[in-house]
Amino acid sequence: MSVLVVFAAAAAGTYLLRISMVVGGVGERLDARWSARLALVAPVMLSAIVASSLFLARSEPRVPALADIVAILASAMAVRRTGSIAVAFVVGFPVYWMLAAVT
Amino acid sequence: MTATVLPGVQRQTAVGQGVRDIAPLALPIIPFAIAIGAATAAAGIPLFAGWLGASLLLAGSANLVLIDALGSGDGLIAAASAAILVNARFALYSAGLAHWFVDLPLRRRLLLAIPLVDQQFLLGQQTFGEAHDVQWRVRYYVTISMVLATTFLAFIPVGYLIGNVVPTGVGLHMAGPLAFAGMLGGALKRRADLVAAAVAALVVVAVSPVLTSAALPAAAIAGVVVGSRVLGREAS
Repeated sequence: MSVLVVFAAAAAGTYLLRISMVVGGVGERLDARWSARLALVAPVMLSAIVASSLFLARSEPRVPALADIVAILASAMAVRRTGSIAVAFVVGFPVYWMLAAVT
Repeated sequence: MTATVLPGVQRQTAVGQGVRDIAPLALPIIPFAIAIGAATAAAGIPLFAGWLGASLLLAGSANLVLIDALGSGDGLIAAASAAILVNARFALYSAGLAHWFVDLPLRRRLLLAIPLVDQQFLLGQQTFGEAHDVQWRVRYYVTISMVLATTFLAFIPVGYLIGNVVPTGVGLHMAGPLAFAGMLGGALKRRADLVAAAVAALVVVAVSPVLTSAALPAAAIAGVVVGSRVLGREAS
């Protein structure tokens, strides 16, 4: 029961974050300048998430495996060249498997 | 892709494009959900409570943090607070949602906010243009949300039951980073994007040992602030 209460509390707090700008009326007054700044959120979050998964383990710094770094770089470059997110796996996983096997 | 004037075609296009776009991002959800299921079992949380909790929260990273905190014996308030802190970035995503659905009644916008996570925000930012009317956006958004939530919730029980027997050599842990790295490669369009992304990466690694759960929102704010300065300098 206490587990569900914790989940419910976390869900309620999270929902307040999810609606914070909706009830704040941000959508009505988001001009081009703010839209350009909002567009920064996607690369910023993606970069932070990728860096976390590579260089952190339980919030502590770690040295990532070479296979992880190269696979991630290959994945990013492949999607950048092709524009297709599906290529991230088509390129990334084989690179990872090959390097993981030899390192 | 642009929306057409035919309602039936529009509906098909939004749903079809939504499924196509979310499929590569839903795949990494599978190992993530399996990991959450396995962590739930390891923490001694009953399957139904863990699954119902995940349904309420609908946020994988925070879910994992919460289970980890409970498994480590942290207090209930500390566990819930850590999960909320991890989700602080959703406030930024909320601005995107408010913008995309500004023409909808408030009640519908509040409903659409329920499943908002990284993937919806990132796809919405990439996909929603002037050519897409609000109903097209709703159908697209609901489609990708349903695929994500269904995948996530379907595989938590699987992870609970078999999560600890998947061979590590498969590299399932790489599915999420590869998908996000791919999206990052496609999202770096301006110099400001590149600078902001670099700052966020450096900050999250630098401050995580101190800020733990708050590192991600702190990195996001730092990246956006620096990126905004670059944008401002380029504009002047």
